[in-house]
Amino acid sequence: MKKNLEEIKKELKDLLVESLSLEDIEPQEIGDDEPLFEEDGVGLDSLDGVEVVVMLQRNYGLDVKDMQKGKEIFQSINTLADYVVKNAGEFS
Amino acid sequence: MIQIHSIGMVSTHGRGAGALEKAMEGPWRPPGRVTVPGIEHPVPAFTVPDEVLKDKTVLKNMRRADRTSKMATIAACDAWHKSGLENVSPDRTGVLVATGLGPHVRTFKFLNGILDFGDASVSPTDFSHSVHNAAAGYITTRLRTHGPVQTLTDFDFAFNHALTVAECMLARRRCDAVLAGAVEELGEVMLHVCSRMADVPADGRPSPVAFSDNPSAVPGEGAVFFALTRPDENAEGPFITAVNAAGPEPDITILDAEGLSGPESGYLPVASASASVANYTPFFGSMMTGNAFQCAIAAMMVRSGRRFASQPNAGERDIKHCGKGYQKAAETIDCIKLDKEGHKRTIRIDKTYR
Amino acid sequence: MLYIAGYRSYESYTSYKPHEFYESYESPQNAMSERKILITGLGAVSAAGENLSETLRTLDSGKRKPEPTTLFETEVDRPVFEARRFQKATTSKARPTSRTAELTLHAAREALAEAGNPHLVSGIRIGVCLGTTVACQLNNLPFYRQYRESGRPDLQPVKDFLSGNLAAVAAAAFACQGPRSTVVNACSSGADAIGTALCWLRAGLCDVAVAGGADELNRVPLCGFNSLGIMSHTPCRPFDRNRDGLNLGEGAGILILETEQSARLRGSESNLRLAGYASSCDAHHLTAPHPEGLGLKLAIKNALADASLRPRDIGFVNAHGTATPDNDQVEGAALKTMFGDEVRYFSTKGLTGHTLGAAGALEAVFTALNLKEGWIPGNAGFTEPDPAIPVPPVTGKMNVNARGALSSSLAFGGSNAALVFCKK
Repeated sequence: MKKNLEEIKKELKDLLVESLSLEDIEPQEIGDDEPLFEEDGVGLDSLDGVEVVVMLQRNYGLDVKDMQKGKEIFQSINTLADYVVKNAGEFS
Repeated sequence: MIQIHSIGMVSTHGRGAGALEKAMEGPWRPPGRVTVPGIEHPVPAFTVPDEVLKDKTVLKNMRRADRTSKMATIAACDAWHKSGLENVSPDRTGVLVATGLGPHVRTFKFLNGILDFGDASVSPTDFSHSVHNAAAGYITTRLRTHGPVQTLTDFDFAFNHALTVAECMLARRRCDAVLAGAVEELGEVMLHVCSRMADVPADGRPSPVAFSDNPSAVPGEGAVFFALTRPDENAEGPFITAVNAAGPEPDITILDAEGLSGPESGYLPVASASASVANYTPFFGSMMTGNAFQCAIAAMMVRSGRRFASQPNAGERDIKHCGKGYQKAAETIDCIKLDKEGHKRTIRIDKTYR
Repeated sequence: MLYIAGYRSYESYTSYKPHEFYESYESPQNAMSERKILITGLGAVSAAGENLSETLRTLDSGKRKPEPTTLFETEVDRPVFEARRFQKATTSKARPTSRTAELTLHAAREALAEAGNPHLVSGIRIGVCLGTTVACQLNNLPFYRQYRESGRPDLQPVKDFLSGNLAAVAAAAFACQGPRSTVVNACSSGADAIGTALCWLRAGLCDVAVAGGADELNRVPLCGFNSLGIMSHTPCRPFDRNRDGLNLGEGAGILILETEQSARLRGSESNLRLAGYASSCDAHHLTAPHPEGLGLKLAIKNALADASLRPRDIGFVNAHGTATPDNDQVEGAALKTMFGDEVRYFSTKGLTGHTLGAAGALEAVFTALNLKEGWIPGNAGFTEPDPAIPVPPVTGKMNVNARGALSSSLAFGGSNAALVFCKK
């Protein structure tokens, strides 16, 4: 079934909170443009970064092998969702 | 010899040694039961209630941590904050964690990833938390200590080894304070294993001083930590002698017959020669590092001058069991453990420096 | 069994008087004559060789050939350093044990033989202190799959696990009755086990110690390190500008440590000492090192003080050097801070891979061996200096006539360890 961009964003937020065991934050509180890996954003760290790689693998069959490229993709929910839409076949 | 300043504990009765003390004052109560795959009846187990592990202050920045790390961190931090040793330099504070099975529940979670998603799609968070020293990493990060840190494992004597290392670190003045303790977590796989390998009594009441070659065990979990320093001979104590000392007969001999280390008939000669025999496993459950809990109770007894009644189930033998009715305060308590090969290790708790 | 008069009985291990323990450290007289701890035997097995002489040849030649694993099936296609030439001893009396245990016993036999087999002398109190990461985990996949599928798995793997504590297995194999401990400090386990044995010997808890570490190449940590994104697709390049991760390896390293008095009684000689050890903690992050190497610098400083040596006494450093971007940058900078611009350091992980619980122990063996032989190897895998690392590693084999040497280890959980070796 085809999902639209908004649905993917919502799904990504749910996945982030669950797979990173984020505390004190509800999925809907994550802003679409909020920096994921900055202190004044969601505040994720390097270990979360590799966990996001696994999250994309398991849920969308996407392989982010180059962590430099990963840094660009993982900037925010918007960039993540763009990447998923462009690369995951069943959603495009 | 090392001096105990304080104890931090997480047990089935809640947080703090006081919670266990309170439970030991009242009548014995059976533990809860856990439904375990592959086992017909729910298995009695002394589990730590989830709400005990919900302290948002102590467990800050521990969103990824599992129960092993959380139990150990709470017990270690509580011991530290009650110790009066906060002025010791962080560079000179050591942390020692003893464990039989380590974070094995996390290991199985990681294995789930391999079986469900394949070798190349497993969780790095689960992997990094499945190493035995994850708990020590959390404790030192929370307390900001930079001194020596070591996690050690043994199925019988891990806590004894930790005390030996603590004594060496303190004696060599590598550290001025050491937090040493033990942690064990219960998960469904080990409950399954325990149910099939040990005799788990249906009523949840182990018989630790029955000297049986097919001993009973009721699995438990928890963490206990001690804040330790070099001995000050004028201090009130209590003091730990980590290895056997040729000294006076102890007032109480605690036999750490927890049911997990094979035949227990080897304890009989020790018990027969003892002035007063005790075991407190029925209050916190069988654990590979359960002697750390026995030692904590011993320390509580010599400090307060009171005795807790042992919970023997087999009273027919000619053994003098430690009972509440016996009023003389205990000053020296030995905690003895035997392994499968019959090696005997003793930890002595003394009220005074001798 | 050989009898030599003068050893204390086994029982005295557990019956010293509490006062003596502290007095042995605290009286000035005793401090002056502190027990010196000799290294009377070494043993090593890894991809770099199945014994010491093979290992020395590999350190000399720098030849290496990491390949995809043959020990188990896996989807993780990365080069690894298997101990291919290692053959399990057929004479092993012990019941079937893990590959990790077999590697341990293999290296321990070599080390004990060089030391003149102290375990065959009656009355010697021998301690066993070993580090590991794999042997302490019940990570048996067939057992767990069976548990999930049938709910009624065969329990033999659990029974094997419960009788497989590494130090207990080695103590039983060589009938050692002294203290024993298995150290599980992740990747610094081997170094910490050796340091702990040093503490025992100084405290008089034993006369001899079998100390070191071991790990087999195992599917579970292979998957784990892969998931962390820190494994290279190529032979690893420690401290190189283009380093992109580690290769896993396997092996065991064992040192026989002995008090001077015990060695004298046995007529055993050695001009190598284990002079100092320190452990420290970053208190920073579970998987990332402290960016300024705070814990590592503290461990090095304290280990030098423990050995009563100055930084300039240290002729070379066998670094942890895993070839991950973070580790090598932090470690290279810390070594420069502690030892200055002239620091000679290298990683041997380009020849063995990262052997986890064995790493600190294998590198301790290499450090002792190089100090004795008077030369050090070049840093295998290094070609291009990294501007972010202030001093490059040693690039080729060179002669070094030094009084002392140091080996450093860093680990998950923020543990750091440093061992200092010294000529007598």
